[in-house]
Amino acid sequence: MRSGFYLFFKKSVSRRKGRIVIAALSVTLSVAMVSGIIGMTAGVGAKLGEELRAYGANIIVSPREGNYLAQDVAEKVSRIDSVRGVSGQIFGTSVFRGQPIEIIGLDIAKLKDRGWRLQGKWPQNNGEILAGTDLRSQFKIDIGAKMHLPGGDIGGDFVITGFIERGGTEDSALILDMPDAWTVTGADRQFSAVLVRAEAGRLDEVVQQIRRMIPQAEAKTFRQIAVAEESLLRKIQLLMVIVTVVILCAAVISVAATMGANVLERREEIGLMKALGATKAQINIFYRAEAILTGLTGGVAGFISGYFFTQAVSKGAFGSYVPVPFYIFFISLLFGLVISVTASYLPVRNALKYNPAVILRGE
Amino acid sequence: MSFIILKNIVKEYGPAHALRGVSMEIQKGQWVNIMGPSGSGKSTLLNIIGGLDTPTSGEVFVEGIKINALSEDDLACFRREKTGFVFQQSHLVPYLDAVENVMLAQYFHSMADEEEAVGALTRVGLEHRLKHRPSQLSGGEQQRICIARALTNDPVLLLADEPTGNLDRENTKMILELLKKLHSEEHFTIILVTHDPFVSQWGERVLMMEDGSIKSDAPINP
Amino acid sequence: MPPLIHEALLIGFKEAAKAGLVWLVFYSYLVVNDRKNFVKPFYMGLLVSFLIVFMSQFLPSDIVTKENAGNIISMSFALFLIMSGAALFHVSGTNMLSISASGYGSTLPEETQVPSLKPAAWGIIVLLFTVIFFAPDGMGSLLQLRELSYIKGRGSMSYISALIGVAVVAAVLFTVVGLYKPYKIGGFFDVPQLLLFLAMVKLFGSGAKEFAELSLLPSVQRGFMKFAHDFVHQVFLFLMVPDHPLLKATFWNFIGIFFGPDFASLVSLIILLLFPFMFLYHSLRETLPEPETRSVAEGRKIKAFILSGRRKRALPVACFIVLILIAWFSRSEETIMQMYLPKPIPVVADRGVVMIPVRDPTMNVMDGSLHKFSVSYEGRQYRLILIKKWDNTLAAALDACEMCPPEGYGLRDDHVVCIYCGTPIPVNTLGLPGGCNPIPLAFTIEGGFVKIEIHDIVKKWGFIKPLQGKESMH
Ligand SMILES: Nc1ncnc2c1ncn2[C@@H]1O[C@H](COP(=O)(O)OP(=O)(O)OP(=O)(O)O)[C@@H](O)[C@H]1O
Ligand SMILES: [Mg+2]
Repeated sequence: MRSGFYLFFKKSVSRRKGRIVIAALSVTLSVAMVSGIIGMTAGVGAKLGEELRAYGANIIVSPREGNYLAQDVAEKVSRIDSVRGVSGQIFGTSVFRGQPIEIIGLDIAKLKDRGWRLQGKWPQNNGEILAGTDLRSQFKIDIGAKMHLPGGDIGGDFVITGFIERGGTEDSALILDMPDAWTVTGADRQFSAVLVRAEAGRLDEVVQQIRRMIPQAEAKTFRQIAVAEESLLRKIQLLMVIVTVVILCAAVISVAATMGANVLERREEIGLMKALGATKAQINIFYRAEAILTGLTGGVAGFISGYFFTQAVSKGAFGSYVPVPFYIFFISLLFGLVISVTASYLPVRNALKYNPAVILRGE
Repeated sequence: MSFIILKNIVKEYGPAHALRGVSMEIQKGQWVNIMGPSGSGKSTLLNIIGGLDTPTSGEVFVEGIKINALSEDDLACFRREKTGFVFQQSHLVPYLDAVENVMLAQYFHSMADEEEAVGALTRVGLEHRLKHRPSQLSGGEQQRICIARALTNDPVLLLADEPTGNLDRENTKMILELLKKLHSEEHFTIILVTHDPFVSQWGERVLMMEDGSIKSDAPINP
Repeated sequence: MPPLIHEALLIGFKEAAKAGLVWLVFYSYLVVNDRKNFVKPFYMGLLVSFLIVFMSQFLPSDIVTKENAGNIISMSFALFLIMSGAALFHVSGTNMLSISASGYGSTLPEETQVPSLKPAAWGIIVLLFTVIFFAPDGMGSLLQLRELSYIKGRGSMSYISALIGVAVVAAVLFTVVGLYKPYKIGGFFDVPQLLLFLAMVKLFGSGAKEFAELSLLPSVQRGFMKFAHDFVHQVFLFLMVPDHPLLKATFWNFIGIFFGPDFASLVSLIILLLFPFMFLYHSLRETLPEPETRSVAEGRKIKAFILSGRRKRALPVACFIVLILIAWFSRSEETIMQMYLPKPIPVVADRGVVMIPVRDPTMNVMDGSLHKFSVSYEGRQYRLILIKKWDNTLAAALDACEMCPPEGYGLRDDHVVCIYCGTPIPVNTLGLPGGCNPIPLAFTIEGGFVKIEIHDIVKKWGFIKPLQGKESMH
């Protein structure tokens, strides 16, 4: 860049603010749409993962013989490489008011941020339990209700601290923390099943490893869950790509129109520069620089508005804000640049073709 | 060998003929005035000599270089290194002030130098209008910026298309005296188009054009 | 035909790309500066490098190791980097000195004269540098290829794959050069920039540790970090740390800043960027000479010419800086995340001896990974680590060192890394006492068990200075 470029560029920008702002605005709009959509998808992906994690797992390890797994199984499985989470569970039944009632024992602390809907409080102490929301109407019980559950040698007395709702079988069961569940079921420090959350792409690998390591246990994947998880994400991604491409095309066209008008307005200037002995490249660089500036400004502004767009939508859809990954900022910049540089390419190229003698006649 | 040689220059715009076979020679350092009725092809001729336009047929030599055969970039180089243009309509960049407009020419030539640009404007008597934009200046002042701009890169060839068209007698005289002074100091060649008989008295030679060809070519006797 | 070996393909690709790039830049430089007579020494240097690489395969295999090749590569990188700085000082010695001199009121130095060597001498220098540049990388790559052919058991296929990689690059290069003749890029370089360019090619294109690893950067980073850390460490050891209980916590927290990975990383980044920034300063800030010419415009033209030349040559340097910054920060983020932190497996001391099975269905302490164990003894918790070294022997140590608070170690690549201060410690040096190394433990292997005396553990754990208030660091 030769000395003086910055001066002329600065002047052409600062004294033509209105034009630049309009061009940048149209870039902003398109970038906001694109980055909003990408942000949504990324956010939704993360959210979806979270929702799916509420199922607990994508692999289940259960005993081959007998009712229970040895207590070290969970520990062993958790040491496998691609395993992200392990939780032992115990299933059993008990009786309440003469009716059979399902009991699920698990580590309640791990449930807390799994997106289960809870009314009331999480249990704090032994003897406090959660009930599925269906039981509320079935037994006409409420928070604070006392229950006596027979089981094991002596059974136990419990207090319901909250009702949970997940839309699954858990809704009609009692959820007990592990020690309580062991008391009620009499299965001392053992598990009915160990639920494993492994990396999505390596399920088979993990299953094979568990089978090798713990011959007395059977490991299976929740195929349906895993497949559903993957295909849903894929569909969303495809949708995103299509929408992005469409918006991008529309954006380039609209920005090209704006920029085209700008360039047309500066035809005389281009002719003059040529007459002063500027090469095409030297003239081009001014317009390129302006396009880059417009693109970057539009990119940043687009990212910011896209961010709020994403949050607004997500608040509506999920009732909570989604985390927008930071790389979207760079994607926004890139989109802004691509849009404005491609859009300005043709108008400038055409303008450079004019014969300066003809332009400068000024007719 | 002459500084400028035109050989049978023809310029056609579609069916219209702007130039119908112009041939002539101009010596280095000469001051030539071109006169003629409107539409006679004066501006067209000037543009072709300055490498701003290309002839439909014929050959243009400047300093022995056949400029109608140059590539676009070489032509641009020729323009910025050898020529200074003053246009009929003063063309200035609207968003740059007077100094910056002069600096723009320096920039394309080599690099911008504010001090020099101020000097160039002072020479044409515009030291009190340095930071004014073209829209804030009169036609005469604009034209003077153009002259300062045309001379800032030490051209060997100054091409002026009615540089004093918008000026009163006073200013016209000032400009012409300035040109005369610079011309006698630096010996660049001047080709000046004018309608004004007063202006045509300056210089060394007058070309009369009519309908795309040269009707008469005579030296001026002071 | 057995399938191609991708790693080998990549190696061939990478080496050829490096060589092609260097050739292109160097050749363009020679073309632009009309010094084509140095093409011959360059080609000769390439040939000599080839011979050296070939011959090296017949040297004893304990000399020609990947580690040694890696060390030589690192050294040659440093050499090119330093040479570029030296060349810059030389070229612009007068100007740079005059700037600082005028600032401090001392007299201007005499014009420093470039030592005028004969072209023959310069030719030899070109040849030498070519060899220094290419031979170590070639050696390392060939070693890696040989290893691949063993590992994959496909013999010559790894070499063939590599050759295909080379052929692809050569084809692309010939097409590009044939079509576009991009010799103009030579204008972006002068001798200092050329040397800096070579250093950068090394930095980004030579894997020192693993040749599959693309860049030298992680090694440089680790090297610098270790250096910076050890330096601070030693200084504080010698300055003597006041062993007063009150002083200790704050003082150590303060030192912790210098021990921390952020600080070491920053220091090493600054060292690395020193030369490029010097280049930029030289190119952009140095005063222009006032040329004496017939007209002002002509003088302006000469100035513009000088200026544009400088800026042109600043461009690749600026690119290097950006590249280094990007690579550095993306890299350091990655490495911190990549640290492997195993959970300690509880073991018990049985009759004063801790017994850990070398191999059981769930683990194998000889698998090269880091294994952590915790022992509870007389109401206190102790942690220890086991890891296999490169020579296939086991190392046992406490999960703590004498210096830092006992936060323990993680594993990153082939370095054990102190979680507290981030110092990388090569696995091979485990078992050596002192400094930031984990405190070694005596052990025996009997009947498939690693046996360690609990008293040894208790005694050595006592050496550690546990810190109060260390949480404030994190
Ligand atoms: N771009 C163009 N397209 C079509 N015709 C043109 C073009 N430029 C010039 N002409 C024609 O060529 C002829 C010569 O034009 P030119 O501008 O050279 O005249 P001139 O002598 O400079 O006149 P004036 O004194 O009014 O400036 C005119 O008839 C004009 O209409
Ligand atoms: Mg005219």
